[in-house]
Amino acid sequence: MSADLVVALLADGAPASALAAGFEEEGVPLSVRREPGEAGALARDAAAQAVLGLGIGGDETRLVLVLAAAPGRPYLEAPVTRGRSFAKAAARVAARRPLRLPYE
Amino acid sequence: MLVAGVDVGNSTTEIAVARTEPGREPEWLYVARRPTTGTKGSEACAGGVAELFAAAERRLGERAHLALLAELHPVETGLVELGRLEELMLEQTAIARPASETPSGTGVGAGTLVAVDELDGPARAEPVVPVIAAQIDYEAAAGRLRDARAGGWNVSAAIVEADDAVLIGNRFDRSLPIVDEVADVASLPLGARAAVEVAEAGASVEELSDPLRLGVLLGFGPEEARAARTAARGLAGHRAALAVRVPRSAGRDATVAAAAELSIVLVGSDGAEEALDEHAAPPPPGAVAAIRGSAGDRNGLLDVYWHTLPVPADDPGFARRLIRRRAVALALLARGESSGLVEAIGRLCPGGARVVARESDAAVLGASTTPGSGRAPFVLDLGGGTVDLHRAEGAVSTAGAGDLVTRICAGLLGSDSALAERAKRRRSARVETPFVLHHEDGSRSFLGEPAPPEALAQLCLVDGRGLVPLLAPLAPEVWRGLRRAAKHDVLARNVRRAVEAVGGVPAGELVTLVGGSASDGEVVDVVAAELADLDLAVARGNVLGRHGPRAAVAVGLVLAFAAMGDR
Repeated sequence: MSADLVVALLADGAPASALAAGFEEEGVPLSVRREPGEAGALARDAAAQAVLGLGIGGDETRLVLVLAAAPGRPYLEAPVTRGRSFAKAAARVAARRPLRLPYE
Repeated sequence: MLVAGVDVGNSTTEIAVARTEPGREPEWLYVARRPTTGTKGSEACAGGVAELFAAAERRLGERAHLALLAELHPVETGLVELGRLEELMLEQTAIARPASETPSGTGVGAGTLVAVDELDGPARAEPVVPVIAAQIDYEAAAGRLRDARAGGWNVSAAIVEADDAVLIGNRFDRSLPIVDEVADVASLPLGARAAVEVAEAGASVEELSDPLRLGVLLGFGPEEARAARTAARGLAGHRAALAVRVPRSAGRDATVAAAAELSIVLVGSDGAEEALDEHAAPPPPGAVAAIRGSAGDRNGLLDVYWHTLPVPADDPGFARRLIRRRAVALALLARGESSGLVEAIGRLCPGGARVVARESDAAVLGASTTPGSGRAPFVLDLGGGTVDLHRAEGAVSTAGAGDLVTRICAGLLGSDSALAERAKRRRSARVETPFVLHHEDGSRSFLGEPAPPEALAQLCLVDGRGLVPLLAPLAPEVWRGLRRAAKHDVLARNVRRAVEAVGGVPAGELVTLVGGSASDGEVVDVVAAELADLDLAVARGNVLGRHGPRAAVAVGLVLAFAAMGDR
């Protein structure tokens, strides 16, 4: 699938492989790109680029999911140590499946 | 004189406080309610009454001088679910559970349960189902499965503790049925026979939900047919599932025998015994005097009522699951022990307590304060435990009312009773996206702010303060149908039974609905629909023109006392 349905912009130190694994397990395509910046700002940029309006930003401390329609605050947020479960939750937002919260 | 009418119901206790003067209408000062604190008629109920008296005193600056009560006919109500009993029996014979929201592969695989470490040894001839613990990384797990297959192992399925099925399947065999998120893999009996099935997305398991096929897959003998049947029931309607045969143990035969006796026997008022058939209509009030069997032994019954869970016609998977669960809600109405409640309440007031009327007379008097009613000759009190039809000749009570509806809703939703109590009264919606609500009538609306993440893709209560997830995989339209069906099956059917028990109500007569359940508009609708063929005027009470269908008996007691002229 070529379209960027959900976009992740990740700075150095963000857990790209955990993010990818979480999306793969949920069967949701994810486009990951490396870009410097702060998680929140990256997520807003990513949301603007994503066809589904869902953007993920990550830096060395946290991961953030932002909705393009409500970019003012994160819809989901987690420390990088919870990368895999954050990714599953973010993928579920995209797939419109119930989330499992809080992150385990 | 400041007096308080007190109505202690099975679920709710209500008081109505008024100042009465000879020759004058009562001056209504305070009406309130709270949950009943004990079995109806028992002394424990006085605790709740005391709290209501204290609240009234704080509000009015004065304690009621005299408590007014109806004649007490204590009753007890109870509920039994046959399906739960079967589940307990099953645990001794087989492990059967739905698994995985994100399984891998499709189809069914059966074989011997083996730890993934065993795959490092020489290959066995028979099919195996490896069990993969959470500490094994998905890359490593897939690698070991690949090596095992290359070494001659016949891997027919896999059971994974972590949420890794798709990750492992993508790296090993996308077609192999793999279920994951099996939290207790450590307790699975290695060496036992197991079967795993994954259906296509949107479909339900077909082989594990078929008792004959499941019995063959697990190697059950004919004497274990019940276990296969019960296991299959538990798996029907799910996309992915596993079943494991529990090794034979000393207590197992006795358990299987006990399961075979899983039944309830009804003892008629004439002494005749008959097995309860959950699909048959319950007998009229008074026809059953006792029950024996799985639900325990109970004597002194006034009524028994049961109903299976309503089944959604437009959700076959969920319907099949419900039918196979054999969940039956049973309500009992028994004579209770009258143990000093009047005396206990009397100690709460300087003037003591006085019985001033029958409950039926009080209900008719209270309901008659509904504006426009004139006199309300037939009053249907739709309470928590019973449906009571009050009229001049007295009352007929049937077992099962609002509490039974709550239990059925809890069974449908898989929730606790507190959430089910809210869910039965409120409309629902599914949060389709963070900004879109799908309502019970099929319409959609947009949210100004995104719905909270925990509500996303969930059926939720819409209670004015926010969205409360119900965690049931139901469309709002389906849930509305089930909720209404539960109200019909219990309340409307019991209204019909009560009406028939008194020989009917004359056409054109006014029937006033009171009680907590009557405050629910859906209940009024289903009761009116049930009685439509009798050509009755079915109306909701509005006690004193401002309390809705609540407190009819409590208000009626004060009116009865006032009519006595303070004798």
